[in-house]
Amino acid sequence: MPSDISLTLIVFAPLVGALIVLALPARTDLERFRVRTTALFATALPLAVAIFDLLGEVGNPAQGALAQPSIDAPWLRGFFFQMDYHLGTDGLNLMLLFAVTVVFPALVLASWRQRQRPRSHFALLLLTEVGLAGTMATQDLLLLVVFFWMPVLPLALLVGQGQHPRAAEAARRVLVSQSLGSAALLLAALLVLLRTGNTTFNFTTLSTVTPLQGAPGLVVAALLLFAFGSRLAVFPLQRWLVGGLEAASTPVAMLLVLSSVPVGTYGLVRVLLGIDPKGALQLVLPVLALALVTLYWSALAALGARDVRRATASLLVGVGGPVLLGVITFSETSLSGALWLGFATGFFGPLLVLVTGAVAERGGEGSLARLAGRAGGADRLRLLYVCAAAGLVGVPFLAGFPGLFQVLVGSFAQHRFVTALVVAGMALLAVAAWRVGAALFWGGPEDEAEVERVSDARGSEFYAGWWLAAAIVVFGLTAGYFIPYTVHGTDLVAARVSSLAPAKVPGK
Amino acid sequence: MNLSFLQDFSTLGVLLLGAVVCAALEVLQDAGGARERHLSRWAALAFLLLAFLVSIGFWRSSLGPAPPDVEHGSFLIDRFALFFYAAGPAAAAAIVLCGADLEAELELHQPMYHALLLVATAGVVLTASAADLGSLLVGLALVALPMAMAQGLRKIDAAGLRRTARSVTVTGSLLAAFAAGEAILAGLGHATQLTRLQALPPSALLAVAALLLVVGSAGQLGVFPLTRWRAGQGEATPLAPALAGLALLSLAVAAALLRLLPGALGSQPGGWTLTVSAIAAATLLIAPVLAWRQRRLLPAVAYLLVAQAALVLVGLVGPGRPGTAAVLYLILGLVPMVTAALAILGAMRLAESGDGLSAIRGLAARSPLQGGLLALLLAALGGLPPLASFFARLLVVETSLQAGLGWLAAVAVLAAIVSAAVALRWLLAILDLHAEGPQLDRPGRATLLGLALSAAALAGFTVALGPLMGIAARAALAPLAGP
Repeated sequence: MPSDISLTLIVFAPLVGALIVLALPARTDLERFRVRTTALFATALPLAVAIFDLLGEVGNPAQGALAQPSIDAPWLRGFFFQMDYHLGTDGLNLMLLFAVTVVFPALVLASWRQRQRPRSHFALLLLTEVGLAGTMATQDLLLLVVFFWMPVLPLALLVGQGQHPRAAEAARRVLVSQSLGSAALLLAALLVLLRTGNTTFNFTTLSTVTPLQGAPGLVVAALLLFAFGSRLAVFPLQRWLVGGLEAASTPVAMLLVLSSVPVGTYGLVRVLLGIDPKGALQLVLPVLALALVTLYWSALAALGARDVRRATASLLVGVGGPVLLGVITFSETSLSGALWLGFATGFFGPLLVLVTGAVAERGGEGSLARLAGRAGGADRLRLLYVCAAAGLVGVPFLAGFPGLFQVLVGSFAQHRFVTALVVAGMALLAVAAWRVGAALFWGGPEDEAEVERVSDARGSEFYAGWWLAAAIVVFGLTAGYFIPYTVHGTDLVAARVSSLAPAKVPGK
Repeated sequence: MNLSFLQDFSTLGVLLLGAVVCAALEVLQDAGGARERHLSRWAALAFLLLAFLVSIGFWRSSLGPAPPDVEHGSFLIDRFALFFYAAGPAAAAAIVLCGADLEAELELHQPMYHALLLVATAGVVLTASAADLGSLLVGLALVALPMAMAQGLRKIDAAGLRRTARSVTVTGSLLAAFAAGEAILAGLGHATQLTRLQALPPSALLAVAALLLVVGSAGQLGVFPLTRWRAGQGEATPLAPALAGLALLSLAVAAALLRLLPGALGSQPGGWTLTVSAIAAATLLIAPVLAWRQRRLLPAVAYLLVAQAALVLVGLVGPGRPGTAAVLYLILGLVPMVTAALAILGAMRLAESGDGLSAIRGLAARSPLQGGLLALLLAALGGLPPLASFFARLLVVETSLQAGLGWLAAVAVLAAIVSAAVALRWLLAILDLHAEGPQLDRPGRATLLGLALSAAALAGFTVALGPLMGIAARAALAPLAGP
C-alpha cells in the first residue's frame, strides 16, 4: 500500500516546482539552466516516488482489485453532499499514473532548448502534470472533475505560444473543446448525485449504488462519452488534437498526446463504466460505430495527409478506435487491453511526435513531399521512428502489442465482425505509418544537391527520445509482470456490467 | 451597574470611533495634507484590525454547543451576526489596502473616504445584528448611503457629479423600496420583530413584499433590473468607493436577506421563493451576456461580479442550514474578488493605459504581477476550477436542486458557462505572450500587501473549503431558528 504522503507528493511536487520556476530569474544562460534543472527535478521527484513506493504494489496482483487508499481526508462535510481529498491507486490507474510520471522528465528534456520565456513554459508544463497526475490518482469524482479541467488552460496557453500561424486558433480550439468536455463531466456528476440520491462522490461508493436506469442513465452516459471521447479525440471530436499537434511546438505537441489518449481511456473505464454501467450498455452500438469511424478516418486521413505533423496527428487519433472497442466490450481482458493501450500511447505517442516534429522543425517546413528523404541520414531519428510506429501498430515485444492483443482477443467473442474490421483498420494504419516513415527516412529528394539534409537527434532531444523508446521496449518485454495487476483492477467493473446484462455480456 | 453592554457594542463602537478619528483628520488637514491622508489610512486599518480582533474574541466565546446570544432590544449578537462581525472589518481592511494607490483619485478627501468606509462597515455589523425590520433598514442604509456619497468625493467634471447624484438618488429609492417591503411585511405580520413574522402564509402581498425587499436590497448589488446601473458605477467616478460599496453591500445584503427570508419567513414554497428565483434567474441570464458583449475590462468585470452576487439569491431559496452556509461561503469568496479587482483595475486606471482588449493583451508578460493576478481574478470570476468560486457555484447549484428548483439550477449552470467563456476570452488575451505594450507601475507596499492577501484568499479558500463551510454552517444555525 502506498504511504500517506506518496500520492500527494506525486501530484503536488510539480506544483511546488512550478512556483519555484516562476520565482527564479531567467535573464542569463546560467539562470535559464537553473530554471530547466528545477523543472527536471520537479518531474524526477514524482517519478522516483512512483518507482520506489507505487510499483511494488504490482507484485501482488490481487491488490489491483480494490483501491489502496493512500490518503482519504474529509474535505467538505455538513452539506448536501460530501467531498473527500481521496487519492489512491488500483489496477485501473496505477500504470497510467506511472506513465505520466515517466513521460514528464522526457518532456522537460525535449524542452531543454526552449529559449523563449522558459519560466512560463516550464511552469505551465508542470501545472499540466499536476492536472494529469491528479486525474489519475484521485478516487473522488468531484476531485477528478477539478483535475480533469486543470491542464486545459495551461495546454491552451502552451499551444498559443507556438510560432505557427494557426497557433492562436489551435489554442482556442483546445480551450473550447476541452472546457466543454469538462463541463459535460461536471453536469454528469451532478446528475448522478441527483438521480441516485447519493451524498458522496467516492468512486467505491458510486460503483456500488443502484445504477441509473433508462433515460437519465443514457443522458449521463452520453455526457461522459462526450467528455472523455473529446479528450480521447475520437471522431468527430478530434479537431482540437489534430490542430494542436499541427500548430504547437514539438514538446507541447508531445504533451498534448499524453493528456489525450491515456486520460480519455482512463475516464471511460473508471467513470463511464464504473458509475453508469446501465447507460454504457445502451451505447454499445453507437460506440462500436464510433470506434470504426475513428480508426478508418484516422488511417485514411494519415494516408492522404500532405503535412507530416497532420499525418502524425491523424495516426495517433486512430488509437481511439481499439480503445473504444476494448471499453465497450466490457470484458476484463478487453478493458485491461484498452487501459494498457492508453498506457502505451503515453510513450509511443510523444515519441512519434518528437521524431516527426524534429524533422519538420529542422527541415523548416511540414510538407511531406518537400521533406522526402531529407532525414535519410538521421539514423537515430529513424530508429526512434521505427520504435514509435511499431509500438503504434502493435508489433510484438513492444508496449503497444499487449494492449492491442488483449483488446482484440477480449472483443472477438462478443463483436467478431467489428473486431475483424478493427484488425483491417490497424493494418491500414500501419500502411499509413509506413508511408510517413518511408517518405521521411527512406525516400530520396528530387535534387539531392540543392536540398539540405536534416541533422540527427542529439543532446537533450536524443535523451528524451531514448527515454521514451526504452520505456516502449521495457514495458513491451515485461508486460506479463504488470498486466495481471491491471486485469484485477478491471474485475469489479467487468463483473458489475456483466451482472446488469448477463445475457449479452460474457463474464470472465 | 452592569457595563457588559459596553463590551457587546465594542465592535460597533470601535468602528464608529475610527470614523470620527478619520473625519477629524479630514477637517484638521492643512493645505497639502499628505501626512493626514497617510495617517488616516493607517488609523482606519488599526481600527478595523481592532474591530476584527474583538469580533474574533466574541466568536471564540460562542463556539460551545449553546452559544451565549446577547440581545439588546433590536440588536442581537449571535453566531450568525458574529460571522459578519469578523468578515466586515476584514473585507474593509482588504479594501483599504488594495485601494491604497487608487485613493489618489480622491484628491484631498481620503480621510473622509476612510470615515465613510468605517461607517459602512459599522452598517454591515448593524445589519447582521438586526432583530427587527427597523434596524435592518437602518443597517442597510448605513452601508449603502455612505458608499454612494463617497463617489462624490472627487468633483472633477459635470458628468461625474451627475453620476454621483444619480447614484445617491437610486440608492435612496432602493432603500425606500426596501422600506415599503418591510412595511407590507409588518402589516401582514402585525409586528416588526423578525421572530413574529414566521407564520405568514403565502399570499400575493407577501410576494410583492419579497419583490420590494429583494429589489431594494439586492438591487444595490446590481440584480435585475439594476444590472446596468451597478456595472456603470466607477466609470466616471472614483473606482475605490464603487468597488468598496459592492464588497460591503454584498455582505450587508446577504445578512439582511438571510435574516429576513429563510430566517424570519422560512423557505415556504410559493411564498417568497418564486419571486427571488425569478429575479435571480433574470440577473443570471442578463449579466454574463452583457459581460460577454463588453470590449473593456472594467465593465466586463463589473458584470461578472454582478452575476456572482446574484448567486446569493439562488442560494437563498435552498433549504436549511446547508443552503445558508453555501450563501455565506459564496459571499466570503466574493470579497477577495472585489478587492483584487480594485487593486488591478486601479493600477490600470492610474497608468492611463486603457482597459480595452488590445491594451490588456500580453499583460502577463509585460507586468507579470498584475497580469498574473488579473488572470487569477478572471479565473475566479469565471468560476473555473479549482478556485473557490467554482465550489461556491457548485454548492449554490446543488442548493437550488435540493430546493426542487431544477430550472433555476439549469439557469445558474448556463450563467456559469457564459461567465467562464467571458473569463477565458480575457484570459487568453492577458496570457498572450507575444503581444507588446506598456508596463504597469509596480504597486505601492500597501496595495501589494492587499493584493497578496486577496490572491491568497482566492486560491486558499479552495483548500480551506471544509473548515470555512464548517464555520459557515455554525453561523447558519441562528437565522433559521429566528432571533
